[in-house]
Amino acid sequence: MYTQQVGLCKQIVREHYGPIVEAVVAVLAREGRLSLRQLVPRAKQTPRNVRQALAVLIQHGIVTHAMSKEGSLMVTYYSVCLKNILRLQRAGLYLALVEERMGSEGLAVFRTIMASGVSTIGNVCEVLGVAEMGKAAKLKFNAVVAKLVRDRYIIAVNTVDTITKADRIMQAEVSEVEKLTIPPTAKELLAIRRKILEREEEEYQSSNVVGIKRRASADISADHLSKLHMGADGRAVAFSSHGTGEQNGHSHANGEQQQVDSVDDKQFFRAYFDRLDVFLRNQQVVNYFTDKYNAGAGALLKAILRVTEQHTRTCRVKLSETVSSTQIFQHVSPDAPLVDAIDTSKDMFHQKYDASGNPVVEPSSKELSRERRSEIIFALLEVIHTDSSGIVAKVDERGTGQYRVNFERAAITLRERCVDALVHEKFGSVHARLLRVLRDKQKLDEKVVAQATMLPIAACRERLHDLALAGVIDTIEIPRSADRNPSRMFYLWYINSDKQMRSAMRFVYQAMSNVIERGAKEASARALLVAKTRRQDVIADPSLLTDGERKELQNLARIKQRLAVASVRLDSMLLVVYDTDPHSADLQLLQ
Amino acid sequence: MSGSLDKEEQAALMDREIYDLALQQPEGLDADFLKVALPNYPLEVAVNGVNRLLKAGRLELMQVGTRILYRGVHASELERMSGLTGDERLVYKHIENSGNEGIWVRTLKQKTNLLQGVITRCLKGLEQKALIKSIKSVKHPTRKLYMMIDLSPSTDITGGPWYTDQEMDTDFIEQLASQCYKYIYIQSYPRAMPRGVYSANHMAYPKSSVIHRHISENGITNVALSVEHIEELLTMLVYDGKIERLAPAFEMDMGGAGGGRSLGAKPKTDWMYRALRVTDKDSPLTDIPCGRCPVYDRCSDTGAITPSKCEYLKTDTNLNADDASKPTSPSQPKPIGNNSNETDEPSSNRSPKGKLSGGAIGGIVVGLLLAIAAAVVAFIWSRNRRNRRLYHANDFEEFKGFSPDSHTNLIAATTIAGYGGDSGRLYSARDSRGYPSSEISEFDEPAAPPSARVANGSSNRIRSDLSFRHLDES
Repeated sequence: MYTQQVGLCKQIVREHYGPIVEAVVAVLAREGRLSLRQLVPRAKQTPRNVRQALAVLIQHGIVTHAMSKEGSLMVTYYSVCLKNILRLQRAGLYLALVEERMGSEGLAVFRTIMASGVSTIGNVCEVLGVAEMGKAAKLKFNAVVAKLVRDRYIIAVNTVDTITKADRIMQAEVSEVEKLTIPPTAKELLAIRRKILEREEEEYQSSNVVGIKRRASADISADHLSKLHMGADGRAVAFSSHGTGEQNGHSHANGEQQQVDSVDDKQFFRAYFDRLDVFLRNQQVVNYFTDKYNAGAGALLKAILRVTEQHTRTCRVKLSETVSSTQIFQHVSPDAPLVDAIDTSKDMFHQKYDASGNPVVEPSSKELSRERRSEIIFALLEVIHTDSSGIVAKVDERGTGQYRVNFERAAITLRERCVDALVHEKFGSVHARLLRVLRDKQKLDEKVVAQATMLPIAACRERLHDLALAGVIDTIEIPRSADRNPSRMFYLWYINSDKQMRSAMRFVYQAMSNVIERGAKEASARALLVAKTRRQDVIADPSLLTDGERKELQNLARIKQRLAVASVRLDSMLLVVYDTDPHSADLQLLQ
Repeated sequence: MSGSLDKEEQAALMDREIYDLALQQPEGLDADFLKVALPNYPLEVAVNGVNRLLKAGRLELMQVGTRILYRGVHASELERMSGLTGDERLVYKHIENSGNEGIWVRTLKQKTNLLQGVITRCLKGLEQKALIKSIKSVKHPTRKLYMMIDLSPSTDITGGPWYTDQEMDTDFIEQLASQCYKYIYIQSYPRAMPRGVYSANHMAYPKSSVIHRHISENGITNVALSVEHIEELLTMLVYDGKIERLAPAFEMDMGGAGGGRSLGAKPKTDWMYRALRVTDKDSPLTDIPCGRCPVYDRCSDTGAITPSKCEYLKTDTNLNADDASKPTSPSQPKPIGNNSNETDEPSSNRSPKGKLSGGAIGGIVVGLLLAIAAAVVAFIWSRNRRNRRLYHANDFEEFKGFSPDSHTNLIAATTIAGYGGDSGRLYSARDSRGYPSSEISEFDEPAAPPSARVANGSSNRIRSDLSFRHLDES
């Protein structure tokens, strides 16, 4: 946890929930887990406000609680999860992802659940007014809800989900220890802990989808079936209302038994952001290949990741499932710009001419013949898997080959790119060159660095110190004599990747914080004007606003938009730097 | 008499023969060699001859391991050394032995065991006689090295082509690297497909030897460069993130560069080079000035430097509508805390002292009006401030996070009517690639093509008028 991170979280909470909740979060972030009695005086708020703030935060998964026995009392302690606060900045990205994959109906359901933190499907129905909708709309709604649950965009919430993970593990450990008649040895304790972690891992790996029921279908008319929405895997989906017991979705086609998914409307659901982070990370990988090669290569990566993402539950996965080139061929978007993506001609002067001497123009991507399309795709696949980053690997040479994405390599490549961009922006291209040399050659003396970067040694030394002050690189001492006299030591420069990542994250946190603070300042400077626009008389008659006021409102909207775009783009850097790394995702399992 | 004359003539003849033999053997000759080369003379006679030549200074002794060798001294050298004292000769010999590497004065002192003053005097004398010269090494710029006047220093001393006057010529390096990069870029992508790439089995990417030929054949520089020098430049470009190395196909098949061979016989990989595509996307840090802010470390939410008061943020992100019309350079932002009201009035508007012209009276009237306007503004500002304080102190109800001006309302309208929005901001709900072009275009500055990035030749070591037209023509 960094000062800048806490500062940013405070800003975000203030923006989303207001100053009272911000005060509560600030105290919890600064001082760790606290009981309500400790929290109230520190937050300098009334107990009622603090309680309400905690309720809101628990509802949104930002605060967790745990009970602990202290003497004769049971005290509830509250802890804050900063990662979930930082995710609020990504709300727009998540919504866009859901809209892209689930359509506007999926977006509406997802937004309702996200806005209330935790919600039952019955509640979503009420909010969206499903009861008043037509039959077709209801069917569509049921289908999209089942799809959201099945694809784990939203997951069922258990009662233990709001309990702090570390406390849950400690309680499990205590209950295991209590089963023993004598105090456990260190070895036994270790075995108990391992067992608990394995159980957690097993729960995580479980493929069961809670909150969804799969039943054999009853008879259904062909006409009805045609209106029934079919899921991505060909299964019909439906929604069951427990209140009436009425089954809305049934399917039976040509005498074959179909399976129907129904969602429990009493079950609470929440948005599963860990899963959505996978899509964001995948988009970053696609962007990498699009930037390096072209949009055609990006489209290919998109197809590979689309095929694999069904099995990639969170960013903890290090290697994707294997995908055959035929599958890739089938999943590449028909609109993908493949025509000019790769030069597959045998000779350099491949431009073809017609009888009249005019150059032959290739058809558009949609009009490409199947053979030409496959030729381009297979050639692009070869280029992608021989890329120096090693993100895409060819695992099987049989047929046209099988491919797999190495997310660990992808995380490293994207992170390095991100740090390079940061150093390039902050210091310049020469500093970025120094950084790349050290990354490639590991530990180096400054003379060797100067030689490799073709810089005068004095200039090189100066720049190395700049980078060291920014926490991007570090020195290690190699003593020449046993007395470790500083004058008789070699000082080698190297990259301490943990430290480098920490300083990069601090920088991004601070920059995002600055943007949000500036946005708040700009808004508060025009608060009176905004308040005026909310008056009933102004809403009824917008002509009450003067030209100057309208211009100022437009200006405010423009400023907010720019700052928000800057903030989201910075957040994408943060996402790349830390959140999507399989190792950091592993570490966060216990949080 | 005649017998003694004959003996002298015979000795002179033998001396001549030994001297000639010694001159023919620049590495030196030993007694065994003389025995074989002069079979007609007994060894004692030959040794006497060698002694005579050594005494005359026409031969000199050398020790190689345990062997004693004699080396012939050329007449010109003999003549040169004739005017030198013993110490000077000793110093001269050591300097001569150092070759084109030169010798440092302290090393000379250690080797000759002479006093510093004596060495200084000898060096001065030798320099005056134009026998030696002093040079400076790029590795140790403070050390003065001495070497023979007719030798040119080694590249270790001069630093090779990258150094001019013992200093690294970074300008020359940058320009030459730009030329290499431009050449590689042209060869890296198919001309008929600006957005296309070559297939994985394309083997016509330029190699260092090809780039070297291009540099030398086009006369880009008058400095003699080897392939190794070009490889140094290319390595620099690789570390600049502009190009990447590709292993030739047969080496890739062998399991990587040089794979499948014994370590001792590892051949040098003949890398191919491919330019990385110039992207028109900028870093997210370009949107805001924090990336290059000189006072970033002092910026916090309190104090004199805060994001709320930041002039850089205002200028760079073009937050102020009035500033939008002013072409303020991001690299030259206004100083922090600079008050725009403090700008000096143009001198032409000032009236002459002691006279009240019509303009001056007008100025007074305008001044009075401005004062009244300032008072009104101050009153409104104080009122706003009071209200703003109230706004900040608003209770929980005012901050529900459901901002009515949120763009999410647009989405709500397109999905299912009647659903209130949350604070998710969908106008930013795209990642950096997926922004609508209208939103992002204001942030993006199109990247300059490689041709624009090649600096004009300011160094006199490189052709500044070079164009790549001939490549296009070919």
